[in-house]
Amino acid sequence: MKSRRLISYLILLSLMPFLLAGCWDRRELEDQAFIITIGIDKLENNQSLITFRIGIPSKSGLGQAGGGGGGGGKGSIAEQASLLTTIAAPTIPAAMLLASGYIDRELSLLHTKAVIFGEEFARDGVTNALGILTRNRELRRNIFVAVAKGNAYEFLRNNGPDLEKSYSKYWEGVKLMESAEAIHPGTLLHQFITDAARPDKQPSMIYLAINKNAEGDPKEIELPPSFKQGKLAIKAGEIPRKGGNKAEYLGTAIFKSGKLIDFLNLTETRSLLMLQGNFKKTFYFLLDPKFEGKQISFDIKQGSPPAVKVSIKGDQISIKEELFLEGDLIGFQSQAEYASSPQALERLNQETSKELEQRLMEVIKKGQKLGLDIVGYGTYAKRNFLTNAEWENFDWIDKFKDAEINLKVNFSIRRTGMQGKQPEILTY
Amino acid sequence: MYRLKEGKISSNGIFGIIVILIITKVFLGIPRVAVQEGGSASWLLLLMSAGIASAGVFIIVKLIKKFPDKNIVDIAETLWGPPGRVIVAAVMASIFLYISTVVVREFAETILTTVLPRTPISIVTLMFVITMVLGAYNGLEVITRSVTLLIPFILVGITSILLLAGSFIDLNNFFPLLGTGIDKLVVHAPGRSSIYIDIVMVTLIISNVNEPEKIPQQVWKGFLFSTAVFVVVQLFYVSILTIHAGSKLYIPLFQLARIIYMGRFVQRIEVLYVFVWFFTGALQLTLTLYGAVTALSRGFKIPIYQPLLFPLGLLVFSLSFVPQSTLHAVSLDMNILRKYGSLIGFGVPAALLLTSVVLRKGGKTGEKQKTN
Repeated sequence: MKSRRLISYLILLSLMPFLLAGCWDRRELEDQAFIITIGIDKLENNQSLITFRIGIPSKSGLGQAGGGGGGGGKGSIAEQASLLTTIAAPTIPAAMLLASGYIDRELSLLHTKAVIFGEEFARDGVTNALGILTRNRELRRNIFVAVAKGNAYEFLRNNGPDLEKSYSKYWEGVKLMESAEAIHPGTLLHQFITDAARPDKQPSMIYLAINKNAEGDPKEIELPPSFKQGKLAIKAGEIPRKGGNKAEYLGTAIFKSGKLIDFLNLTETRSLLMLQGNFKKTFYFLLDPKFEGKQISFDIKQGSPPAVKVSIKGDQISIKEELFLEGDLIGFQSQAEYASSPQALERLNQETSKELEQRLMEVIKKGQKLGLDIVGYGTYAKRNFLTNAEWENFDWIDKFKDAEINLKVNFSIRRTGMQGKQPEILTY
Repeated sequence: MYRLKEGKISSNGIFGIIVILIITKVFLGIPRVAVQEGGSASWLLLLMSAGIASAGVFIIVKLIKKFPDKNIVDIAETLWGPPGRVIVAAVMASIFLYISTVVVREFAETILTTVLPRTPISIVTLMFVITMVLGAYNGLEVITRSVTLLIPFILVGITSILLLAGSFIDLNNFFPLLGTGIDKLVVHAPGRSSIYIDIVMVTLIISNVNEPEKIPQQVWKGFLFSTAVFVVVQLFYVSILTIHAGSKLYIPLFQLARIIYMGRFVQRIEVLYVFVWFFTGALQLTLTLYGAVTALSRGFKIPIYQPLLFPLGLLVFSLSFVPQSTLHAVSLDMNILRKYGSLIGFGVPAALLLTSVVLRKGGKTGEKQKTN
């Protein structure tokens, strides 16, 4: 009896491997090619130019990264450890199918980090492409979505990270720059498709571009006019510099009805993030209110989330937003007593608050002019309605452009750094 | 012959059984359907449907208290005679067979859609059915022990997914507070009380429970706890995914798990979710198959239920392929079972309770008659 039971167990055990699902879904690592970045550009007749940046893990340990060999054109290790290919196809799955005609590995989207839309494609609308992206089981909703100036393939071709061995790590770094420096909105696919579907907040994407002036003699660098006004009103592709990776991620692409309509520069992007409460910290530069032509630098943090109150009377919308920002004084060029006199510091707080209010209002007004609630005041306005139907019938987007907005910024410098009074330098 | 024992469980085991039977639905379409019907007030819809279902639970508890030593088919025989016994047994078996069939297909489809796209659905379904049959074969005691062992892991799994996705929470997504409107909530809530009909299983296993007098307390605890899990998951779901995305996701919690990103080292944790999901599904399916065979064996006075397992398992396996597609299977679950199921699931115990009151039969009534 015992031996019969043992035999039946052994038979059952020997049959189990045939039932294991791994037999069908077994995919060896060396049989797969992981697409790290996807670029989508417009072609005629509803066709697209799909670019894949595919990782070659076996080559990513070629040597030490760095050394300024980047800037596109197989210079950096990340570029050498990857394959770039562009295919004309109606959709991403079709492009993957066609690519399997010359890439002898199974293409996988499991490790995709970013989807980049060419400017022209984005202006025509990204809705159809998003439908394919969200339905795909391999692609995650926490990947970046971005718009590249000109063509996505051009951005991908010229993006040669200097410090990273792989593009996966590069995109992790891009993500870090959202929280560390607030230079782009860090939009994920999940956020974009959610915002695109709701009337209470309009979506945006990260703005990317290739800096065509990144190579050459530093003497050729031209100073952007906004710098003289204490603003960094530049976007990706416009950083005045020479050297380094030509690919830049700076600014915001704004969408209306799924179509790209405008951009926000660096200053505006940071204003938007502050208004949204999606801002952690950044270095910030202003003109010294007391000394003409002199600059002051801060390290600004969000003290606490913005307090927003939206009142609605009939069709009249009144919005009150109060921001609580705090900062460290990083440096100033004048001989002011900001770091030694509490009164001077308080005056600087007030002046800075005013300046920030003005800059932030510019972004709100820009949104209103475009007929968009890019900050997302609608998410607060919903509190005034009892049902979804009432809210949708109110037609927020249409009425928001005439909304009265009162903004108050409470900026407070907490620390003034390692130095008290400015170092004195004798002039003789 | 020890293997053919059903086993005895403690009254605490009832709590685990109810929790597993109910909360499995958070992994399937309930969060999505609740958003479609309740909008930003989907949590309120679930709370209202639980309120309505509490009447059904009250009826079941009352019936158990009236007939503390009888299962539902015995009660039916007492009140309606032998035909009543057969009819109630057939109805109970049909409910659990329906649940098993539809849920096994849904679980198989979701596994194919997410992690095993190339595996034939028959293999995935077969795996589930083998688990169900083996689990049910070992009896209620073994199932309950497994439930008690795995529930903490399942709850920790669900909680961690919700908390890790917490960085996306926006409390404004709870507004407008009444969602689709109180009129629509009132219309949909009674139907969605069907989420809780699995509780009727308790009426089949009374004789397997030590300290049956503690069953009502455990039923209420299980029901309230499951409702709390539903509402909390729904609150997170709406606040993270919004009603706009939340009403369109086929596998809601899986998507929630997939957006988790806590730095470079804490991401792609949906693997954790798949384990939780599989264990919960396997336990629920084992319990529902056990419910179906127990109803039949007790209804037809078959001394052991095990011989029924293979044919019923085969039936579940075969019937699960009847729906043409995932959408058809989901529709059979969400638009029929979880919309009208309470009419039968709570209706049968209600009819029995009503009969016992009218005929003045049953424990407490009898006692009252004696004292009077």
